[in-house]
Parts: sequence; structure tokens; C-alpha cells
Amino acid sequence: MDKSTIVCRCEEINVDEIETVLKMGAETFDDVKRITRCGMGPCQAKMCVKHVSNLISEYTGKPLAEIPPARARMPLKITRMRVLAGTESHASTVKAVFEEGDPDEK
Amino acid sequence: MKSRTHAEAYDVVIIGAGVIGNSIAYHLSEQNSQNILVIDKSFPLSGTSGSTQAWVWVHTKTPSSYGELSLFSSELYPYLERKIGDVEYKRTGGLAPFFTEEEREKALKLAESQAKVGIDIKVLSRDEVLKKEPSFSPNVVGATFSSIDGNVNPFRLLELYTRAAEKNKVDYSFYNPVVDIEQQGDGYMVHSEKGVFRTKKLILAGGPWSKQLGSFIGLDIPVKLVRGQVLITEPLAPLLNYTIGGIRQANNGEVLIGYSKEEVGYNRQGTLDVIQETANMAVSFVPALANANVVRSFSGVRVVPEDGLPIFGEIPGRKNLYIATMHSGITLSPVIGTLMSELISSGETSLPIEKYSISRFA
Amino acid sequence: MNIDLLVVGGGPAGLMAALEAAEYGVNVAIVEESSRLGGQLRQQTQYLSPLPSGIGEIRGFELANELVEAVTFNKHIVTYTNHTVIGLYEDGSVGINNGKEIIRCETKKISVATGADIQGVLFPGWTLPGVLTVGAAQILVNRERVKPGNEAFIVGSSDFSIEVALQLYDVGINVLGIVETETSLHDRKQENLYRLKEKNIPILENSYIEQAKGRGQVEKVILNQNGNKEEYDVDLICVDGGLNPVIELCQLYNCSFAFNEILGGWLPTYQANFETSTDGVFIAGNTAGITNQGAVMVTGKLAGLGAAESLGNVPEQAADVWRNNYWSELAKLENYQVNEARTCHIQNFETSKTKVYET
Repeated sequence: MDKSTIVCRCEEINVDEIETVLKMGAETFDDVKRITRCGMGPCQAKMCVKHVSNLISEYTGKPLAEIPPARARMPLKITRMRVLAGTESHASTVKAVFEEGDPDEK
Repeated sequence: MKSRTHAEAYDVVIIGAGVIGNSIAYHLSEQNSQNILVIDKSFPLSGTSGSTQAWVWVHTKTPSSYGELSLFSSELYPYLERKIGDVEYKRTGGLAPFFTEEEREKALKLAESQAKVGIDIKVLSRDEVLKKEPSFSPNVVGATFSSIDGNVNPFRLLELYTRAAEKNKVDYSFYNPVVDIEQQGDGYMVHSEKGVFRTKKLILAGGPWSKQLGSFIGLDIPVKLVRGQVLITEPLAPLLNYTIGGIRQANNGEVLIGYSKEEVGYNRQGTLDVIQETANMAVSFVPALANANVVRSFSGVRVVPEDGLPIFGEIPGRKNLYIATMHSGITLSPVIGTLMSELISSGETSLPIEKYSISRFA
Repeated sequence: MNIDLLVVGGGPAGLMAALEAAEYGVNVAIVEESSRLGGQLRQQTQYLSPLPSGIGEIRGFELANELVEAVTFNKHIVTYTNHTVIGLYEDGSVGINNGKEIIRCETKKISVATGADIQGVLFPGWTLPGVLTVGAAQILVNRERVKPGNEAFIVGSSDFSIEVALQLYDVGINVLGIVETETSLHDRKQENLYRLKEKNIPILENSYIEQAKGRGQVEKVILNQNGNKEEYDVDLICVDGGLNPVIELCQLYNCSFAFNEILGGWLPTYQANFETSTDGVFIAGNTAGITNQGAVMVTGKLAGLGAAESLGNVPEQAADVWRNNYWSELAKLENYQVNEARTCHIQNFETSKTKVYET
């Protein structure tokens, strides 16, 4: 394995890019993910989480038991928007940006 | 708590490494004259700044004085980018659609009041909306449009602020929660899990965690916490020309959708209830999104001052203690960093900022 | 949908959990994201061993058929294939994608039997076509009847990858060797080692793949064995970087987690009845720690029994008797180290109720 070895194939992130974030002080998979996009692709980190955890452990000297797993995100599996949207049309917490605008000077 | 005698000494300590704290650190560091420390309980992007759609959004911000502040900030983005690097800032223009005729009245009023501060808004008819954004739902009645709105990549923004500040000798201490703050003469002792820092000036930029920081020094910081959930699609071919109130398409083709607001404290766990409502909104705004795959969602806790307007400036009666906390931190980041660094280093600002003082809540 | 017990995952653990709970009259629904029940058993063409008592010599896919038949004809069990759990609603009910819409399922108890993910192995060139996990190679050969290559290396020498090496050999793939970084192997099935010898497939100890090369597809491999590099012509590399429990649903339930290397990394903490720190959430199979298929089935029984008991369908005393039996069986079936690790994992739950790791 060298610096150019790909770790996350979905986003094509290599070892070097991950080590750059570790140098900044990253300590978790999610820290690495947000800056490099490692694990943000279609497989949602299934393929790379262990490799990244190993790299973090090697770099920081922390045991794997102190490197938390990636945060779970819904939908747990890729889901078609139309299926999620369903047929009902109601919106209580989701608002169009315009609805809350109040043009009057406060 | 007793202060240790061998505290590390700084001119300025900034608590919070988000888009506000980091902007202040970077702008201050441009002068290269002060020792600056940024301290964070976690890592950049782990909080609000990393869970945002990252619009640089101006035209619906009211009152117009607040719109104006947002306008100045968006004007600063191109200059910021020249200094710190490519943060994928795009001035796409922004559309805020409406679906009833009553809202057109509101829109016209908005255009009129924003014009006074130089924000140019057009109120579009249905046909005009569809001409600009052909994938938009024909059910739309109209939209307000301004060419000033856009978006940015928040991950790049934070990374490049940090790198530029580091280059200017700013120190960072991550994964280091502040546990207490003590006033000592004209300065402050910041007690953290990893040690004690002595500083001449202290800036609270903790976003959603501001209330706790304030409580260390007997300050009530009047902010609410609001959870927002955002859906992300797989990368799609170019579909949207503009940043739409609620939806934007990123450089890599992913579409981000969301405009939910829930007051549930620090709970960041997403819920299918809101995810489904958001999907529903996506399809009713842009019907073609029905066929897109949703790859993931994220949820973030935003901070909203009780009157909705930013809180920043020196804290009255507390020498050398400053605060900067607000909603829309991405939009406001460049201007807040600029004004706060002016205030901290010279005591004066190039724009009046009194109305954003925390004293208005007293 | 309104039921007593929702079983997520239609593999051996989920099926056993459903059957066990149904014994006590619990109304169970099984959701399985693929089009068929049976999970990993479906592509196991070898005779399984060891298996729980009462099950005779049987191949994996045959056992899958028997279990599927048992759940299909059980009046307390409803099965939903092509149904995927995608998340939770605010009130705790479960969202299931049936391909058309999201069904909201209210269930009193849930048993998470989502299995494990197989990890890859990193080396320059691992993203080239021709590099597969051993699991994927096995599905291609045994289920899809596709031969993924002609000349192969296997990377990683778990019992499972040895099994796959033998199966690839059986369909006419030349397996050059099993690459293993360790220098001494323990606890491998003797019978499989013997069969490897018979077929002339070496286990290459103290070795790793330096690089895979090729234009658009694996063509060559540089193997490092005892520090010596040598190039081989191969078009297939099957990798086994170990199994990790699939824990996402448990994360959404805010279960507490602990790291246990032997059990496969991060997994929910749980009690002797296989209930996690979140009330009503049970786990079974590889989600509760990576183990062999026979043991997976027994963990399913334990989770099913636990759910039935907590629903009030089994008196506590009777449940304890059965539970002790199943635990003894588990101890017999699974590798000593794994069983030890599992016992330790459970003791940790009993002694500290604090959350080990919160998501």
C-alpha cells in the first residue's frame, strides 16, 4: 500500500488525502468523511470504514476501540424519491423559504 | 476552579471552530500581529457548519438592514476566495417560489423594501419562473428572484479557512471541550479538558453551544436550537440553474433538499417523518426529482437567536469579551469575520453594528 | 402493519428467531430486502458443520430451503421479501420500503438480524475489475453460475475463504494460492486444510499482494512472500478483509455499543436474552458477533425466545431452562475464543449499564 492507493472507491479518495486530514487533527471516520468526501458515495462507507479506522488508529496511536463507527444515516438503503414522497401532500415542519419571510421592518 | 499558574498565554482565544469562529480567526490572522488560539470541543464540520445546505442567501432576509448585511457578506465571497482558495462559491441567482396569489402581494412588498438597501428582486410570473427553471413544477404561481444569491461548499470553506489561518500561525486545539471560563483582571482564563489558556481577549463563537459557554461566566445568551434535516440525491445531470429556496444542486451533481425546522434541543437523530415530508416537497417543487435516488440524509442543529437576528460584538460591561452567534453563518461568515476582526484589533468597525449587540435583549 | 415481533433480515438467524418466537404463539413478520429468504445459506454448496443438534448432514442451500419452507407454512409468520427497512419514525415505528411506498410498521419487539458486511483488502490496483470479495465470488459461482475468472489468488485464509477457494477450484478455476499475512494459522478446519492439500492449493504464509496490474482488468499480480517479490499472471483476486456486523439499525435505535475485535468490531451491547440496551430491540446472528453458521442459528433461537418471553408468551422459568440449553449448545458450536468473547461482551453489559458509545 502506498500513498496513492485508493481507499474509497466511490469517491476515489486515496491514502494521502486521508493522511492530510489526520494531520489537521481528525480523530473519527466522520471527521475524515466531511473533509475528503470519503464514504459519501453510493455505498455509504460500507467498503471503506474499516480501512479508514485502521489509518486513523495507525496515525493517532489510538486503539480501534476508541475510534467510533460511522454515524448511521437514513435512508439505510438507497431509496427512490417518489417512494419516499408517497402520495400524501402535507408539510408541517418543512416550509418553503418564502413562507417565513416578513418584509415589514421590525 | 483555581487557575493553574503555567497557563499558555494568547492575545485572542476563540471558542468554536465553525464557520464563524474560523472566519474571525482567519481575518484576525491576516494582520499577523496577535497570538491566536481556536479551541473546539470536537473537529471542524462536526457541528452546524458541516450540516448545512450552504446557501449564500440574501434576498428574502428581513428586515432590510439584515438583508443588507447579508448582501455585503455575499459581495465579500469572491475576494475571500481569491485569498483562501476555491471554496466552490457560485452566484447562481436565487428563486423563492410561491404557490398562492396572496403570496404575490407579500413578494411585491418584499421587493419594494429590499430595493431601498440595494437588493434587486424581481417578482416573476409563473411563465417567467418556468422559463428560468424549466424543471420547476408548473403548479408554481410565481417566485421572487435575485441574482445575488448562490451557494458554497461548506466543507471546502472550513478546510481552507483553517489552512489559511494555520499558515498565519493561528493555533488550533481540537477535541478539547471548554469546561470553565474565569475573568481575571482585564483578561480571561479558559479552562479546557486539555489545559488552561490565559488570554487578553475572548470570543465566544460556539453556535448552538453558546448558552453553555455563556453560563460559565454568568451570561444569558438568548438563542434557540432548531433541527434541520436535509436529503441528498445521487449525482444527477445538470437539472437546476438556480439556488431555489429549499433546493440546490452541488457541483458534483448531487441535489440537496430541505427546509425543516424542529425545536428538539441537541437531538440530531433524523426522523422518517421529516425525511418523507422533505421528499414530498422535492417532488412538488421539481417533479423530475421523483426519479432520483436518495442516497442519504443529514441532520444538523442550527442556532437561532430569539429575535432571529445575528448577535455579535463586544459584550457590554465585560471588557475584552466578545460574542458572535447567529443563524445563516455560511452567508454571513465573510462579513462577520471582517467586522469582528476590525472590532477586536481596533475597537472600531467599518459598518455600524450596534443593532446586533446582545444588549438589545436586556 | 401491526405485529408482535418484526424480524429484520431473512437469513438463518432471522428465520430461526421467527420460528422460535412463533413456537410460543408470537405473531411475527420477517422482512428481507432481497427477493428470496435464506441469506448466505443460499450459496453455500458445501455440507455445513457444525450444526445445532437435531439437524443432520446437509448442504447450506438445502438447509435454507428447509427453513424457508418451515416459516412459509407457519401460521404465525408472515414473510415479506423485496422489503427493505430504511429507518425509523419519530414515534419509533419502522419504515419499510416495498418498492412503491414506505410502509409504517408498528411492532412491540424487533429482532435485528442484518448480518455482516465483508470488508475488502487494500493494495494498489484493488479497484480494478477482477478484484472481488470472496463473498461476491461465491455468489457468482454458486448462485449466478458465472465463472469470474480463470487464474486466481485468494487473499485471507478464514474458513470461509478456504471454502470459497475450494468451490472456485471445483468449477475449474486455477487457484494459485491463498495469501495470508500471518505466519502461523490456528483454528482452521482440519478437513478443509486436508482438501486444500489434495487439490494442491497452497496457503502462502507471511505474504501479501504488493500490487495488482492490468489494463481495464486484473492481468498481473505482484506477490510479496517472505520479502521476495514475484509476478504472476492472474485475472481474479478474491479478497476477505474480515466481516463486520451490520449495526446501522441499532444505531438508529440508540443502542449502546462496544468494540470487540474477536466479534468483528463495533457491535451493540446485549444481555443473555440477546436484548440490547434499548428495550424491545433484540439482535441475532452476525449482528451479535461474527460466528459460524451453526452458531448463528442458535443466536436466532435465543433472540426469538427472548422476544417471546418479554411479550409474556413464555413463563420466565421455562424460558430460563431453554435459554440455558441454547447457551450450552452455542458454547459447543462456536469457536472457543468467539464464545469467550461473547460471554465477556455480555458480562460487560451486566456490570456497566452506562452507554459505552453513543451515536
